[in-house]
Amino acid sequence: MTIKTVSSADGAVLTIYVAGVFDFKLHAAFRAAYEGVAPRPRRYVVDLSQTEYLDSAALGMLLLLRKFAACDDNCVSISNAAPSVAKILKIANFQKLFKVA
Amino acid sequence: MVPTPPTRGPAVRAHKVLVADDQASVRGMLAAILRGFGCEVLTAKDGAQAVQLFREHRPNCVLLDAHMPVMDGFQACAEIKALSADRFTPVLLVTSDRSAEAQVRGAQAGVDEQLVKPVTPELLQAKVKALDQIANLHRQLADQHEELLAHRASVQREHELALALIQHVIHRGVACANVRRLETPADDFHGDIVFTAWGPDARQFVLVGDFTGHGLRAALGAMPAADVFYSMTRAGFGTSDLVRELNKRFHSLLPPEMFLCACLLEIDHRAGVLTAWNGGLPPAIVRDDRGVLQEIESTHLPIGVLAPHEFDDSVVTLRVASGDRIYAFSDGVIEQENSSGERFELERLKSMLSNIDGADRIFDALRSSLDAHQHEQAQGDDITLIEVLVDSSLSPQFATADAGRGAASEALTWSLDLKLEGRALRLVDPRPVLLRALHELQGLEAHREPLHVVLSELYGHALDYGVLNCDPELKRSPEGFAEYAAEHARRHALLDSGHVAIHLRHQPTPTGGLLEIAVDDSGPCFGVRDPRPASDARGRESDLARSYCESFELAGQGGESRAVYEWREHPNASEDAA
Repeated sequence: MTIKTVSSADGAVLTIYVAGVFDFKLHAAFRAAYEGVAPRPRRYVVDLSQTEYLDSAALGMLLLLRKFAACDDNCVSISNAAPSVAKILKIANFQKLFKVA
Repeated sequence: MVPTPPTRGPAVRAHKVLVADDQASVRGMLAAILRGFGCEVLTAKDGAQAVQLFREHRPNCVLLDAHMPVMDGFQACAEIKALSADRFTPVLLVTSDRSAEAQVRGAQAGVDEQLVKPVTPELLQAKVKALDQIANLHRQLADQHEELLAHRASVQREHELALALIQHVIHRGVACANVRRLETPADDFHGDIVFTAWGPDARQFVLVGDFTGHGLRAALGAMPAADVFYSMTRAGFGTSDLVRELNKRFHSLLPPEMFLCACLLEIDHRAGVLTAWNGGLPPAIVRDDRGVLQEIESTHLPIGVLAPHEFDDSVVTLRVASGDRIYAFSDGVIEQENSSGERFELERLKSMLSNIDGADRIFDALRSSLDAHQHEQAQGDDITLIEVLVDSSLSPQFATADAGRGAASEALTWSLDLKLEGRALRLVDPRPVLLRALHELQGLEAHREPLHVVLSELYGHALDYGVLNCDPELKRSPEGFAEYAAEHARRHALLDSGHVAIHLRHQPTPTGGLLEIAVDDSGPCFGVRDPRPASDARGRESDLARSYCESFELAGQGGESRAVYEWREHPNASEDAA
């Protein structure tokens, strides 16, 4: 499974793991990962430890998640990105919108 | 065999059946059964006649005996199958030959069903019906396929039309001699954008952009981008206003997951100033004539992501000189992989910029290197690379159509005053507004460039040295320039009091008209602050503005600066153009 989700015990945090190439093909699966999760999480974590590459479509998907979460700054965080992936996030200055760990 | 009364089941849809058997009695019996089902029946006495009849009448079902003279059933089947390759026609072999060999030969000939005599009417009916259903499926599939092809061709045509339209719209900029471009699309449409334009006061604007996605999706964004870019640069707006408007447009127009990574460069060749905004593209690189590189990194989110009230339009300002070259490119360049999966990488590009001998050879060297690196590999993403040469002797190229259209209308007497106070000074640039007013009131399009230079000079003087009280002396040295730019930006961002007032007075003259522009400001009042030395950039601008005017005086702080611009009616309006 390229996309895997894990909810915290109290349901407050939803972690979405993305493996391999994070591109447009994962559009539907990524959305399905967070839409309809009940109870609604208070925080979201996108874990990119297994992500080899992400393109602008993936950046767009992250923006969609942020819009969906509709919470205060930094309730959506991006974690464990490999250096090459982190670089892509940095050039796009996504740390201004997401907590990048 | 005595024909039994045909079973009156639901009529079989195979309405035209060909029956071939060398025995008349068999032919007769099968025909009777089939006619009882409501079919039209053709009969043949050998394989050759069967093939002939098939050719002429194209029945939708064929019954063949295996062993017939002239041509047997197996051969006839093979030929009929070949003839009906475009339209599936079921062939049943009806034979008394039970041998395994007959089975094999039948299968090899392409027979759809092999029935052993005697055949009951019920069995025949069932088999024919079943095969008919298969034939229907084939027909449906063939119809759908044709529909799909037609639809695809139609979509393709629309696609081509849309692209042609878009290309026309986004490539309306005039080619600039000092800008070299490398643009290779990953598929049929280059989704990256490169726009170039000259502002009315001879500042050059270059926008390099990379939309999310490529192909037609990217093109959707290119049109509003072109609209904003060309109209605003023409009107005299600067980089900050431009990116802010682009962001506003995209934020409201495009869905949240679509955005534009872009780098906007504003080059004032005469003053030697580069103003830049980079959101989401790899760093733009300025290379001086010694090969020393400066990077302009992406410090902003891409255009279209943030709502207008959150958008950051702050720019970076650098000193540049004639001979400097500015490079900007999309990530397709540095991410292009070679056959070993290695990316081109920024470091390689920078090293080429530093080490290549002969600055004018760099662009071609980059192009060949990229080409060689990619070699036979598929291109991963649109590749865009531009080189802008800084050249203080450049003069803008306005489309000559502009000049013709700018014939001044009847000279009238009018005046216009505009005063910006406090926050308004920070948020509003009065120049495009006033230029527009000048055009609307007095039709002075042809004088756009000189008027913009004069207006900019007077306004800039009042704002920078008056209200913001910056020190023009700082700008003489490169380090001082950076300090000046930073201090100016800081004070500008904090601006919330003070004013600049601009007064325009126009009256007719026997030969045309006279426009008086006066500007006063709230800066502290003492002494004349007109920096004159020819080596200073500001001085150069002043000289240029001065050269356009009958009179031109920059005043001391708090005092009034004044310029008088005279225009003359020419019999041929196009001569007015600079």
